Amino acid sequence: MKINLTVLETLIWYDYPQLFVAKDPIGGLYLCLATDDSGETPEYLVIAISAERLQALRLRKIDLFSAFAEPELGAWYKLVSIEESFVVIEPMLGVSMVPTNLLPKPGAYLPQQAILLPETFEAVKIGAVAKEAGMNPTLLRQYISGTKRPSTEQLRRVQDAIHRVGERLIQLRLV
Amino acid sequence: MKWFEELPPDCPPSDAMPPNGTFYRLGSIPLDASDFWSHRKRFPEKAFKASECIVRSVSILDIVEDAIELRQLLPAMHSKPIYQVELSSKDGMVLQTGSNIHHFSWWRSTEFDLSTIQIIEK
Repeated sequence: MKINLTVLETLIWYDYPQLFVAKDPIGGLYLCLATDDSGETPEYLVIAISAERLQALRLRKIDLFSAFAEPELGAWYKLVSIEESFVVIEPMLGVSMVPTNLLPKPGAYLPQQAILLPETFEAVKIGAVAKEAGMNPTLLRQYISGTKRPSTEQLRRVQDAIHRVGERLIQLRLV
Repeated sequence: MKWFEELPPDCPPSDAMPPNGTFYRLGSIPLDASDFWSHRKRFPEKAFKASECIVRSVSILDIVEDAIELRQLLPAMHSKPIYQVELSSKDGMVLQTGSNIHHFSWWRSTEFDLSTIQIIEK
């Protein structure tokens, strides 16, 4: 049975989406991994994955090999078509184990994500954090957009500033 | 600047910068010109979810450790050697893209010379 998926997020981009998350019509999550690009089109191995396990992957608590070698539902799928945000997969029937050449190497974790992601600043104003950190807001925006990369020292300044803003918010009493 | 591939309007983005330094890329042995083709040139019929500007760039990394890590992570890259390329402003424009801070999109100029590539790890 074919399953239609919608692409949610690319976790690893290298020339094309190497690893991405997609969801089915009822919200089930799938992880799609490029396994071979020697042909006219890349081939992908697909597994269903829970939100909890996906988060463990992102936080580098489990390696990518474990996710694909031992999928939670014990089943693998292959991608049969991809068109922009829409993907069609079908089960790999009669497969009890995936050949190791289609799997990540054991002990390889997702790359460290950029720490200053825009999501970090959904609840706090960039200008307020920059002021607290004694930093030019334009520079902070460049860090967030990825145009410039902060040093560890600068990251710590931003982090401390966010924490101080948070502490002041916690102390706020309206009633 | 004369681009190696036709680029859409406003591409490279205004915040892209001229490269200056060492970058790394996963390729093939023997070196093939297609190792430095963009996704769009390589898979013209394939429509992935990405901007037309990004799909006309080439992925490069600014630290070798990331190239080694990606090779471990990605089955499609397991057997690819790591190329070292020295890029300067004549070679095009680069911009850090994606969630990996070491990943850059590179819009190649026609000036880039494939013969300068070194294979550092097979």
